[in-house]
Amino acid sequence: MSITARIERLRQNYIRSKPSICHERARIFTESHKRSEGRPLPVRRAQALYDFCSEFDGPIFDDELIVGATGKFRKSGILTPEFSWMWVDREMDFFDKRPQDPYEMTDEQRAFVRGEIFPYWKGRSLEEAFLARLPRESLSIAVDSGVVDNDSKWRQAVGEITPDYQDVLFPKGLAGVKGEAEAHLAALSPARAEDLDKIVFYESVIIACEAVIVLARKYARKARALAAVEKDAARAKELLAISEVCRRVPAEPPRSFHEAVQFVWFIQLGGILSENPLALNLGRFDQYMHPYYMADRKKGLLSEEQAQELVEALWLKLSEWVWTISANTADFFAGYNQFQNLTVGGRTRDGFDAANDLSYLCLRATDSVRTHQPGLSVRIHSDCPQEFLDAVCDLVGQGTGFPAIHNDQAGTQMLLQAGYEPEDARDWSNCGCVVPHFRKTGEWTSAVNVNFGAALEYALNEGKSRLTGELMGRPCRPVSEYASYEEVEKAFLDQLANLVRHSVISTLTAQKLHARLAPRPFLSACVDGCLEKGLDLSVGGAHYNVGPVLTGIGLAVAANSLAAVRKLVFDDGAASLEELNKALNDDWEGHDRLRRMALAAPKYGNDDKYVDDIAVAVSNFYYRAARGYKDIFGSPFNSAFMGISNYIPAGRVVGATPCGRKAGRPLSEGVSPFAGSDTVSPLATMRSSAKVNHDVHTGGTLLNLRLSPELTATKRGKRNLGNMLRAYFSLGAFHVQFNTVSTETLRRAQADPEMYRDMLVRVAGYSTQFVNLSPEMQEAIIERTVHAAM
Amino acid sequence: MSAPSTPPCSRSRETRETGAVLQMQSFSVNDGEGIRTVIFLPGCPLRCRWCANPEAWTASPKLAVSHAKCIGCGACEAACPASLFPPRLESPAASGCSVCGACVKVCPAGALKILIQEMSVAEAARRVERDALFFRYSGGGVTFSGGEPTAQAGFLRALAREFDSRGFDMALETCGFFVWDEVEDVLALMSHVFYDLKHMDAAVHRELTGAPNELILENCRRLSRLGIPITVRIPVIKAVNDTKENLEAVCRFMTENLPGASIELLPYHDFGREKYRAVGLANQRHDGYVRPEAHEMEAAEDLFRRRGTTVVRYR
Repeated sequence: MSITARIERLRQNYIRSKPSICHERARIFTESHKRSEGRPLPVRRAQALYDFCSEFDGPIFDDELIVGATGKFRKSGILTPEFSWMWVDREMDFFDKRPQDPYEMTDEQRAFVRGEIFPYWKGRSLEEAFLARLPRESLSIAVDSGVVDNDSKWRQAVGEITPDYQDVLFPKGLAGVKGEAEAHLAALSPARAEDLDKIVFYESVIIACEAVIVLARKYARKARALAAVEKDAARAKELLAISEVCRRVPAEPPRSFHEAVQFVWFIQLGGILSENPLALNLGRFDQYMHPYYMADRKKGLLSEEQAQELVEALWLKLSEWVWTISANTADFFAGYNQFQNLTVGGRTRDGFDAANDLSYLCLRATDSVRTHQPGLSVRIHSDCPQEFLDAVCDLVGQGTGFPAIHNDQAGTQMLLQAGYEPEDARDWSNCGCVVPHFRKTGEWTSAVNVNFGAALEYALNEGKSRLTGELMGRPCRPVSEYASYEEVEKAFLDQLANLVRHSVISTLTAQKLHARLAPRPFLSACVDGCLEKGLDLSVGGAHYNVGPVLTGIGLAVAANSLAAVRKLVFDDGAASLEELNKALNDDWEGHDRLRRMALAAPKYGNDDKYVDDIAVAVSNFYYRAARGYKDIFGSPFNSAFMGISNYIPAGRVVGATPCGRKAGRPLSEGVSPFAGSDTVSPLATMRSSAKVNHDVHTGGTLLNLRLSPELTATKRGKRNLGNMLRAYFSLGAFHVQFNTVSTETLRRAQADPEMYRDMLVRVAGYSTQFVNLSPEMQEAIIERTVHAAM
Repeated sequence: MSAPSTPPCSRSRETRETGAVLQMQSFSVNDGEGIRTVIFLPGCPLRCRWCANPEAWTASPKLAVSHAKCIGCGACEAACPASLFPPRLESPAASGCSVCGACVKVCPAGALKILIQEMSVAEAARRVERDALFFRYSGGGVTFSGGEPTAQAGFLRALAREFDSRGFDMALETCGFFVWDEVEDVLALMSHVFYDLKHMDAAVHRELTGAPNELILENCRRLSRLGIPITVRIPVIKAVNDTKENLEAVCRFMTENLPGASIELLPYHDFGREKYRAVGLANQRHDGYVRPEAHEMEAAEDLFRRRGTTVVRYR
């Protein structure tokens, strides 16, 4: 229950109103681009943002404390045709009918965008350029195949940025950043060839900063105007206060907690309107907000309740805007999730405990409003206060799937591995779901999803897809010619290496195009390094540039399948590879006995060396394969086993697998076991997953466990949970997240979604409303093994 | 089936390096402090009429049939050297089943399972060691349960000594029907004992469990004198042992003999029903026991609290 009646009204609205497409942003951007033909692209993008900010009459909704909207509706999704319009054109007639993440859109809107917006972008969008440039050999495997999937990097903006409040935004304000850009500009000369690109860059930053300042001032005027006609004196006073706040920030540094919260939302808004980003993170919110909180508290200007009300208002703002994405992307990132991660707890840059009053307040706010955003993450270190761990376990016990729990030291180790300075490595926060990240960084943290199940299939099926018969992988020998288990494993790794290669090709193609077609003037103003270097984020402006992350999907399926092949065929001689392959072609129909043996073979997630060793070997191979390539800035690619909802669409394109899995069923997520196959105990599951060398997979690792709610119902149970976490992290593992909603509750929610609209579940790396998931996705959640205490 | 009036006596204080294990359950949080591994040692001198673990009455391996999973294909019968059809066996042991496992290997539905295996102390220690990390962080350890763990006193002793040398915290659950001299040294290694008091009236106790309770009560007094923390447990069954009279008798016994002991009341449950069928003991099952309502459990707990006895719940 929200902290105040006002927040509860906002919350009810968030729960009940449907996401709608608002095409205002697309309209104004398009008109602006028509006017700016011929000017440098970064300036045109910045100018379009400026035009939107000054033209759009942004609404202030009833009861709002934190203001600023992406469109006309409470839940507005925007269109960004400069990245891609073709998928919108193809899919928008069914936006309201698609199973995952539907949107409302009127026929009138559709006619307008088809008539006025899309024709301009034809031939100009990133998507078209990508499809035209992607080397032919990668086309069938890297475009909407479910095998090598990176469409969020060429149908969308990159996102994946954590604005720097600590060192850039709060100390300087956007006016200060703009001033710095102007100073740099003054020192440059159009007579020096090497200055020309920098001149364009600084000009674009100046316009972008002005744009968001103008946006805020418009809201200041709007609030004042509303106050003048407001009948309720208390609300009128409040609107005047809002007006004052918006006059001040984000142009100037904030002076109060309220100003700081509104500042953060304006920065989010600037980023959203610029590019409809995935994973525009809030970073270490409890750290950079704490001075403002303490100052106001000491001065007696802010009660704890008022602070929490402002934070809950921000949580609702973060949840209301809609990340507009294609049906394919929605399958991979299900649940209207914008992946705005917010991290609390952990250690300071000097290595001391960092938990403060705001860390606890954030946990309480998420418990109270139950919004799917922000993606609340915590860092737990070995000396973290017991009361903080208790508060974390309390929230776990609420069954929201929040927070995502991370091992502080493992995160630091991952960043050291990636080449960060020690203080920066200690100062990490999450990007998106479970990627340890530092705010002065340009990194494609979810560049590609790589389907391990497909690699396995190609190894056993002469390089062909079992479902379509199409040659997708490298052509290879028929199974009858494999004489040993080692040959099978090698064939799999060859196919996996090939998928990594296509992932790299696809990413490099996209990176090159982003550098030319997708300048990011506003976000470049928010990240340290860009102004100093005079370079946009898209061309490596950030202080750190870390290589793109390739996320492996289906590690458990690959390991379980290789183990089954080894056991059934080479150890026990229970079946030949040909027989096994025939069973897979028949999707196990008529091969019950063989399938039973396959299901009985060792499964990852039970602390069984036989299969866990394979998982470790495969994951190590994958790490080396990724690190063998460099991106356009010369940074090596990185590996990860994080989950999004990607294991479901990835499973759809993979036929039956030797582990006993049927065709089309989901694969496995992150370093989690295959759903339902971790039958020993959660301790065994944790021991298995900790065997993977988490520290080298700098793109993050994910373990998702479902616990019976009885386990966390008592204080004792929660204490045990906390201690279990400490034990798991002592093994070097990076992340775990718990779902504690019972199967019965999930079934009831399926039957009666109206009654369970607010129920959050952990999908993978993030939480979202269960009722907003497609039926298929809901079944996948239910299938995960429930670990009851025995 | 009837139980003897005195516990089976074995050679005093022997150790056995192998024994029968029904199950080792990681991540148990209801049988002592922290996260624990419960080792179920089969064999029990009592035959409580409501028993939920009939598979643990004796320590011999048993073939268990899941009737829910059985598809009636007959593969087991074809594979059985004695041509038995396990799903239809009223009593596998009496039918000549040697628990060879041939049927388990061929069952396509996964409906057959062998319960209870012979295990060495070293193997048990190896398995427990995997959970030890979680003990250290949670203050947990090993809990011996049954059956009745003291029924394999020699094996229990060897396990307890091994775990003691490894620094594991140990707890034990017992029905109390054992020869004191045979297990005193083992009990002394425990940091906590859960002690069942099923009924305070000797005659009723004998009727319900097949054995009298004098020895059980005497062992409990001795245990208390050893200074080991005791939690008395009552499997509370409606109209059987939840009467005011019986509860007050327990309370009196505790006040007079067990200073500092706590009590945990566990409501009877019927989860054992399927197990009787699974191990072919359906004809041994006694029906008609009733679980007390939540408010009745609360009232029973209150009775103890009012008399100054600490009530605990390991849930």
